[in-house]
Amino acid sequence: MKVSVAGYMEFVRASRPNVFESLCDSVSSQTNKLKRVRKSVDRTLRFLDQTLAMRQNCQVLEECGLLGAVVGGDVYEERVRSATETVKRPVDGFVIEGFDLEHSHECYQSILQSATSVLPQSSPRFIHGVYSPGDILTAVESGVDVFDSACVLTATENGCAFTFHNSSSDCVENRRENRGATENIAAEPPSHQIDLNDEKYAMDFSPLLRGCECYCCVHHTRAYIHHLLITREILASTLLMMHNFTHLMKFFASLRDVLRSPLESDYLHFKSLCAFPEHFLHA
Amino acid sequence: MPVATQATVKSLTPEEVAGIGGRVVLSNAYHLYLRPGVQTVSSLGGLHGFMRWPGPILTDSGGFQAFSMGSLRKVTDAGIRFRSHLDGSEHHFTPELATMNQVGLGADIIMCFDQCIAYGASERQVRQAMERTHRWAAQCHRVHRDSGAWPGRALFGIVQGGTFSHLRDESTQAITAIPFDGYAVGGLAVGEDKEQLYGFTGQVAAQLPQDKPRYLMGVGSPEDLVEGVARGIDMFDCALPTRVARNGAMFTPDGRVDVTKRRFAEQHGPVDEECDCYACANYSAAYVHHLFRAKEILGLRLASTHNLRFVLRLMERIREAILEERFTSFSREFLDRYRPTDETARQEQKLRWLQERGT
Repeated sequence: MKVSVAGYMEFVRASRPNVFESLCDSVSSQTNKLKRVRKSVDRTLRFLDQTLAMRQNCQVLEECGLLGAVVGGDVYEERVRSATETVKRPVDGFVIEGFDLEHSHECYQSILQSATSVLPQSSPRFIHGVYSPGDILTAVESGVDVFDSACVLTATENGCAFTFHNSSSDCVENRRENRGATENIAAEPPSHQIDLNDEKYAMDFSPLLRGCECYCCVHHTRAYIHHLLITREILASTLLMMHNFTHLMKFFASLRDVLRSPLESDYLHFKSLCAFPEHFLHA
Repeated sequence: MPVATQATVKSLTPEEVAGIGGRVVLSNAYHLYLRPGVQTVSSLGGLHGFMRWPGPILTDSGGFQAFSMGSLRKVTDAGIRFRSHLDGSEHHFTPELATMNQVGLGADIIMCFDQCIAYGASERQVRQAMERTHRWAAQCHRVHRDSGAWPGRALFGIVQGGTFSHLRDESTQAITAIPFDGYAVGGLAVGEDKEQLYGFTGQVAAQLPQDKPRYLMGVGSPEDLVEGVARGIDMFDCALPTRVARNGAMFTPDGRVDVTKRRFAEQHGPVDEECDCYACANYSAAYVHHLFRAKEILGLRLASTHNLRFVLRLMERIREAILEERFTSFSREFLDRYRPTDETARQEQKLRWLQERGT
């Protein structure tokens, strides 16, 4: 099946989204040669120009926001070229494409920064498929603004509930509880989530996370979620999604609050409370 | 009563079930005894605290599951010995244990431990199972009284007798001789045809006390509910609405439809124009069709919501019709319009489901 720009734009026109991305040729990172990466940047720009032309002639499409795709694999120069050229076009924002799970933390951060560094400050920058919450902070520090909920689905599908810091719940106390009051929290990496498949939750009467006001934490216990997972009941996914989604949304609300502060120390303190361990990046 | 076998109505939160009109749910003591265990549920506040259902809960004794799901089962006068379908561990259900399991789970209505018999068994076999059920019923009644749980908790007796008319009469006499809080018609919906189902239901119900609730176990489809009420039944339980929903079969006033079929791909309106459920109030049939094709969990939830609302609303309308003394015309109108699933297909589907029950 071939997806042309014209075919894709017909789908966009029928869907009437508030925002859509231009079709792109995004190659994955380490396995592709320079020639292929260059081709993907050229092709993506061509797609964008075709999209812009079609959009001009169509009122429905003009009312939708357009994100230009920044591609370029792991090649810094190509990332910069893609970003620089896309900026020249009249787009409403940018989506950084082509990040897979094989990057090291340093590589992930530096490639992202190479892409975002030439983008205008006032335009929103989107990214897809950030599967672990730790990478959200990395991406934010690298200039990204908008994320999808990939990490929520990943956690839920694994039977996990988020417990990392957001200012509305007492996550430090929760972590202490998870590992016993006598342990020294500072000595070990804190947990960002709990795995409800673990037998130790079979008789745990507490909510997934104390202080959380999601439907699941208000009404149900860890023991019940554990039971639902063990018996492979659909409701386990429903309830975990409610918790993980609520938790992530609160995390973003807290993050936005912190970023409004002019003091970098406020952000660093927030980050230290989250304390996502290094090994958790791309977990 | 929506079925919440393993302490959950599949895919729906308790709030959603209550919002649809569910008032009493049914859980299964066999499943909960094996996993997570009666003690665990009890220490977590009983079934009400464990699953957070705010209304009454009825539990089945687990006798049917021990018989049909447990392997290497041996039935004696003492009870049923079986191996768990989960891990092969050995268990022995007796009338005492089956009763105390349900008390431990904290159910509001509990069922007698009875011996179930396969459809097609000989009269001799059915008689033997029936007589054992009567003896067990007396034991359950005694255990329940002595447990101190009565009268806060109700115990229902179960009439057996297979598809033998004289045995049904005999069983009704024996069970109603014991002052249970309610009476159930058991051992039906196991493979017999509709005529037999309705016939035996009517025969038994006509002899049950007028002032005690009558419960037809494991029944049924929308037409069965109307026919059952017509014959004197007050309570029903059936996993059918949610089970078929998960395969895309949805109830409408004209009969069941398969929302996965192509003809729904472009339908702008809901699956059932006359339904007030969340799914029909908010979504086109085309969207529900899409969700099933894309294997999205939301499809299961919407279809389950709709089917449960359909049967619960049907029961609401039945109650209204009875109070307004127009049940006969209501039931005729409903049954004239509602086209039941083809009998052969229904039997095949049921047989398939009964065979898959172990998983």
